[in-house]
Amino acid sequence: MIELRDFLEIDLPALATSTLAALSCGLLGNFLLLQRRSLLGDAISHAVLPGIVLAFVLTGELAAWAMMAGASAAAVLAVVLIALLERFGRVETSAATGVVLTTMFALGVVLLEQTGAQAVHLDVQHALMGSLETIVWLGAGDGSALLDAAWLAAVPDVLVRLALVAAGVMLLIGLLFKELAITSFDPGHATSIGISAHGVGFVLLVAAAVVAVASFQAVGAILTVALFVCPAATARMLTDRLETQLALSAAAALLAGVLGYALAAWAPLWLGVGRALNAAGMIAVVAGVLQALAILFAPRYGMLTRWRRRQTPASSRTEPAVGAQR
Amino acid sequence: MWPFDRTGARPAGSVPQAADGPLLQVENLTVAYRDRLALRAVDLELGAGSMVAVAGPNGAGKSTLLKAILGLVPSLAGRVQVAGRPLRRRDGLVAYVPQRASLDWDFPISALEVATMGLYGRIGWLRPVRRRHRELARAQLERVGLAELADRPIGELSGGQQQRVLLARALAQDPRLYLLDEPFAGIDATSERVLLAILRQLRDQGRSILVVHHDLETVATWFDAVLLLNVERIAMGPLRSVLTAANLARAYGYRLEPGGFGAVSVGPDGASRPAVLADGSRP
Repeated sequence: MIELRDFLEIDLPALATSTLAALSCGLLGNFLLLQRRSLLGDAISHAVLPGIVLAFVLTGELAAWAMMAGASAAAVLAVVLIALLERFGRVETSAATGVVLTTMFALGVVLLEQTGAQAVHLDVQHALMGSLETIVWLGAGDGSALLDAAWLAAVPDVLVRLALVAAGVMLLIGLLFKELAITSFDPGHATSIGISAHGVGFVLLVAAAVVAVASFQAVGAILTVALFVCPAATARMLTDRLETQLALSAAAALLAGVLGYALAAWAPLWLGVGRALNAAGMIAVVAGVLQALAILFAPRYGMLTRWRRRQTPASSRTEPAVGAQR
Repeated sequence: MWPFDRTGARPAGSVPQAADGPLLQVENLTVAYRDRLALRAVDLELGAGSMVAVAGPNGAGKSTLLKAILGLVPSLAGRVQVAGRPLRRRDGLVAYVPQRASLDWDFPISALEVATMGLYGRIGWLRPVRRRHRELARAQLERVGLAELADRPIGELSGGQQQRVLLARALAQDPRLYLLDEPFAGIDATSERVLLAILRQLRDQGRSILVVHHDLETVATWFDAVLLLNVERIAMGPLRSVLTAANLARAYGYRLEPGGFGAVSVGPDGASRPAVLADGSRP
């Protein structure tokens, strides 16, 4: 049985952290996906590693804000490098992105091993898979302390940061929804009426960098990548409205966060296996499974529906065919 | 009456009227992509109430001309003036309809939402789309004959219907100048008729329209004038004076290679030959 105290001190903070990371990445991922720049989230989440290591080496401690600054600088550098490679290296965007993300992540790994930063649980494994298990919110007692000021004040920094980042993402999308939509659909037209696609694109990029950095520390590079792509791609299969897609991607992200964590933390116990699984990895798996389910079974665009539609003669289709000439 | 009914963006009298000069004036416009010249010293003047086709071979810089007028691609040299002053995009004086094939028609959005986007510049940053904006856009969809399909996802529309949605978006903007890139490419007969009728109507109302159009046969029946382009301006004016054998040979028969004066032209067979023509009109 799960003890309330264990839940409050160990599971709740990890669950909240991973879910907030999922929500932030998942929401922004919609616009990256629609602009066909999903790989950018990938690049940023890997490229921040050398920045984090350098920040640690320079400050000599695991100070969150120093590492955040180092990571942000690395993210911006990665984006600039991609743009430069594209323009002067004469390679396509995806190739430039792939080169920059692997090179910078490799640089981060080398720095990690050479500087001894790994002594303080900053190592490659945590960089890839996060350190959800180390996030604890001690002092919950027997649960009567739920509204205790001292316990509330002891909330982990990572959780606070991700809560702020998630709120910021929602605020940004709320305020710039129409600008994000128009520049994603038709950047040329948007720019021609004074809504600069480059400007809005830069804002999106900075937001993605901040989100990637915040969730990287909590859930690692791999999960961050999965969360940028999977919830948005899942939602994309289910709707033809952008607002609905955003809502569904948030739902998919929350579901992946909660279900993934539950499967990792508790399912092994129920099955009698002694140790829990890696939560970040399980969340990424659930996000991927949700996307696979959507691709197979989505009501209109799923493979099953398409296959069934082919089996049915065109005349007996229930869907009106006005102007449908795809 | 327009432009005085606009929502404060353009106070009455701040924009010189057509009588003051050409609506669009392009001088010496030069654009290069990397080391390839896309446009060389193009001059262009468009008065109010004119409908002009831009014709020329593939790679002649037709789309680039529209983008450079709007400042969407950087120009090496040249000057663009709309209504007598440098273009301020926020003013919404110019509506741009890019090539249909350049857009993602799987985008999760309805026809009405696309048409409403024509108003986004006017609505302004941080302000929401309101019901009156949507009604205005819906009226434009009605005008292009798509009232019943307003709430359809754009991916379910035919190519011609998609093109009409883009025209509705431009109409919602209510500009003085329309720049359309290949609007007639690959569309059905109904859409073609609707597009043409509306463009002629706009011209008769004093709007100016510049249309990139590759089909020379229909240029002759649909447009008042044509700009023949192949990196540089070959000729511009009424159809009969422009579409001469000599001009067409210069535009289509010889591809101008970059590299400045005294350039060598490459013929359709790929053979190089001196850029001298029978009428001796080339530099």
